[in-house]
Amino acid sequence: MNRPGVQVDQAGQSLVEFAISVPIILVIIFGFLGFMQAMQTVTELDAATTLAASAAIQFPVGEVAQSQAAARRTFINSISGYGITGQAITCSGGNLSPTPSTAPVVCHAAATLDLGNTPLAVFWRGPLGLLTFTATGRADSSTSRSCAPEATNVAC
Amino acid sequence: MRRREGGQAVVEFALVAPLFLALLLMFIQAGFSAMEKMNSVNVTDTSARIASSAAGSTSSETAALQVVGSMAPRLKAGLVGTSVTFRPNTWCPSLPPAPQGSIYLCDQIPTVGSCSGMVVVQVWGQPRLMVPLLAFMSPLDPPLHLQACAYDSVFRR
Repeated sequence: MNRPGVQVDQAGQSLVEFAISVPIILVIIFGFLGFMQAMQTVTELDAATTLAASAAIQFPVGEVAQSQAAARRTFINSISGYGITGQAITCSGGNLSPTPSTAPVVCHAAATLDLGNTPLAVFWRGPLGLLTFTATGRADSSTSRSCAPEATNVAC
Repeated sequence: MRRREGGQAVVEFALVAPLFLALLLMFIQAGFSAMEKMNSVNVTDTSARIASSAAGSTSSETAALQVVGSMAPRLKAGLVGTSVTFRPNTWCPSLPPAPQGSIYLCDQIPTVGSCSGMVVVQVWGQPRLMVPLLAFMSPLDPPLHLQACAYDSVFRR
């Protein structure tokens, strides 16, 4: 009944099983936590982009520079999530186009989530932890908006 | 031999069961946490919008800041077991003093800074853990630190 060879084999098998399963479990745990953080970033990016588009239509039709600045300012200050870097936004259409109109303003934004800047950095490091997301926001212009004095070719 | 294998199975089960249970609880907690954060982001965004709309009416800025308070119940509804404190016309206290299970909803129309002249809504704090056993994991769960800035809806001239 004494079969030491079998016992050693079983112990080795357990060790191999353990060595295989632990990294898989860690990947699942940290992957899920990273996914959660990513989802929050996507939600925040969507909200900030829509707010930025709304800001862009607050100014009179034809005031392109001010509208762009307002959209950028709103976006940058509204996306303040954990580990978010490299935010950028570009808005076009409506009073932001070269020939301003009362058409909707559409904003395209991007942000990078650097999980290396979060407590999840123990797992997500370097390029592996850099996730880039994009969002589109749109705001319809009101028909009661005023026009900038210098605006031309505009149906105000 | 069979008795030994039976014993081994019991020991393996005893080792694996708590790990499996912890993993399961963690996923439940993570799911709740994600839901709470999504709700908080939506409330922050919506609060900024309603405050900016109110600021564009004939009412004063104070009224605009007070109207954000109407969003506090909605924020609380999405945060199970967490208290929500509305602090109008002030900045939220710096983190990390906010204790776990406590969230601040604050607003302000600052005259200086990056959001000067805009309505600023902040949701700061740490929601309560649904699974207290996982308190050791709270360092991996960043606190809520949300902010939204919005122009008032008066068409600017």
